[in-house]
Amino acid sequence: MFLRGVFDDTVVLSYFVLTGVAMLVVLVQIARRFGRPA
Amino acid sequence: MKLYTASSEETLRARKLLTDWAGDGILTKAQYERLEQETISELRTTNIFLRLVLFLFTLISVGGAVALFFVVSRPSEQTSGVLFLIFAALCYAAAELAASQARLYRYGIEEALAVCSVGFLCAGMQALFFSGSIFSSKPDAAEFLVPATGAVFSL
Repeated sequence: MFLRGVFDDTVVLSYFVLTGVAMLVVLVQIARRFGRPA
Repeated sequence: MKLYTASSEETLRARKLLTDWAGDGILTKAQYERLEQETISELRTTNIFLRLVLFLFTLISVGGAVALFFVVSRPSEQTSGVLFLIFAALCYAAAELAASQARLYRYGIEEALAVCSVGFLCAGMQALFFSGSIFSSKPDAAEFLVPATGAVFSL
């Protein structure tokens, strides 16, 4: 939805970077909270 | 040169064996719990699904960040080569830090950073030593040397 109609490379790449980093942070937090120690 | 000590990897192997044996019914629950306490490792691992997702999102984030940098700064081809080499060094340093400081072991993140490091190294060498693009109308055979070498050594 956010990227629909957006053709600026900078905006699209910024979106990729921000959402990618956010996903990484959330996934690492989930892995720490619910994972077991190795 | 290995970042992980032999004892850490041995502990992880022992722990995996314990899980297998407990699943097969060779160990009782009490035996498993006692042995599990004796094989605690300081390394952080995760399951294969989370490892794959973390690998993918690290690739997307790093690739997006580098592409954003190039879109904003629009450097020349020679400068791009140097910048790719710098990004390769940064990715390698980040992978080393993730493994040595955060103690990540087959976690997806440090592996993706290492893969990015190799990719940027190949791209940097290609841009520095071969001025023409491999996508040009008359590519020189030597221009395929770096990608081919990278592909062979990654096997």
